[in-house]
Amino acid sequence: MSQAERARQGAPKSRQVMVNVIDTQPGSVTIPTDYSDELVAALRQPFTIAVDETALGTLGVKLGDRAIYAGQTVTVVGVLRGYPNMMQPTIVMSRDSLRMLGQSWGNTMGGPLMIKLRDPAKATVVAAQLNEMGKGQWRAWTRQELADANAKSMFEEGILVIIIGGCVVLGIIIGVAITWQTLRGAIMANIKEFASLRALGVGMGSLRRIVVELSFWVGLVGVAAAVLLTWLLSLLARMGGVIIALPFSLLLVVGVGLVLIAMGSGLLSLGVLKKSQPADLLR
Amino acid sequence: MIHTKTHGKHGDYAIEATGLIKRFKSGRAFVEVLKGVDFDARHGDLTMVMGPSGSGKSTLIAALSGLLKPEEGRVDALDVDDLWKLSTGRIDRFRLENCGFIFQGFNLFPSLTALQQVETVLKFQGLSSGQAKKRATTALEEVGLGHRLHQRPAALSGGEKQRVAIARALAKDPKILFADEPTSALDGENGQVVIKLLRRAATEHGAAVICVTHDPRLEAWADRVIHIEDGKILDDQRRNPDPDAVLASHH
Repeated sequence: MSQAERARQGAPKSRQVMVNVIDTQPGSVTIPTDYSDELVAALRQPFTIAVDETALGTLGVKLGDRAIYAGQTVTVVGVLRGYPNMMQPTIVMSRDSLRMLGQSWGNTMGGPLMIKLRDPAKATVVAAQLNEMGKGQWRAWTRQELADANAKSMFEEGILVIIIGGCVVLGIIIGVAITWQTLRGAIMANIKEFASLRALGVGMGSLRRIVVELSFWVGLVGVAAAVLLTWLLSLLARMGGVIIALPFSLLLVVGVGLVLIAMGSGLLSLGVLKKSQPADLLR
Repeated sequence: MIHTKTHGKHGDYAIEATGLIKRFKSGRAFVEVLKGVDFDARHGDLTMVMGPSGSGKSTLIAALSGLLKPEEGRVDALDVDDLWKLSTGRIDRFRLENCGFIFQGFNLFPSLTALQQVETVLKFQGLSSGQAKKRATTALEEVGLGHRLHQRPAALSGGEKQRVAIARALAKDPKILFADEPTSALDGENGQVVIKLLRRAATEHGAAVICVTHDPRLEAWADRVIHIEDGKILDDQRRNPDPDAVLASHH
């Protein structure tokens, strides 16, 4: 039966979801570190799921609701924060629930394994030894390596990189164009004043320095504005359940980039200074 | 008795030009705006250059001040022989060190206060912030704007703006002061204030003040009146200036 037919018969709307499965055994390594004991205990009950708060609306459920998953009833026992997925709503359930829902195929041989070392300090050494032993048949990662590989694959394969890349290119073009034209306009508006400085003996080089210095300050103001806007945006996102990480190193790169864009625009608008001909004032 | 700093001796030549010819291209033809003009101006003199518009008087001061290169002729200014032999940078430097300029339009930066307008040029001359501020304040007080130091041009009247422009030119303590129609945008009262300031720059500071105007009422303050028409000097008269003259239309 197609979805349209089901809808016509009054069946509830269905959505495809991604399922994250965790082992709810106490001390299990697949339990995210920010999950509370209560949440894990609740998920340990059969046929229970947890949903990120951003997916509640999409799935049309709230805490305590029942929903149908793969033809069987499940109960929403937890609402997560900080696990949004912009592509597809994600639900979390225990491995046992998945098995009881008939979705686990009992293949425990080929999947990824998470293991805990008694001495975590030796992780790098152990991972290297395991890789040595496996001779390419398997790959062992430390926790950090796995996290880095995950982040890297998001940027390599995902649509993210296209969106971010596009934004950066557009941002630079628009930023340069706007700052350039604004500075040009500001210089043109004061061209007679610049010309009078030239008449008083201020050289072209000094005027150029003024413009570049001015564009540097424009850039700094831009950075301040960007900091404020980004902060407001992150507050807005937090209200919507999306947590934006703002690492200092990235902010620094963006800040320096903004100042460079402004100064580049300043350099572009130097040409218009040639119009400051003091002899034109003698008319 | 006057005890201010003076440049050169009153009566010494500050600027001497000979055989100035300047042509402008107009379509295919050339228009000769200066037709072999000889000119000189002395320290302590208010030299008035008068003539109808298009007579070449503005072009003359542009050529004298190193702003517009004449096709022929030479300009000797202060200790520089043949100003136009210098590079553009050296001419700029000469103007920065020795010349003041006052224009018909006041040409003040809208975002700067009166004090900042004057300080800016002084800083380019190499003065420290403190020195520049002190000199700028003195110059503004001298033109009667001691109480308006922190006003921006929008808050100043036309006469006050021109006085800021004059303070900007005088703060440099120029040996040569060029003024192009300095009173034509002003009413009688403000015009009188301005011409008196120019008179004082000549008398008290010993500057060679070269003032271009078509306003015959200003003649009363001049030491010397040169009439120029059609690119040629018609006559050159010395006068006894009347520092207490009154500009008409002043009630």
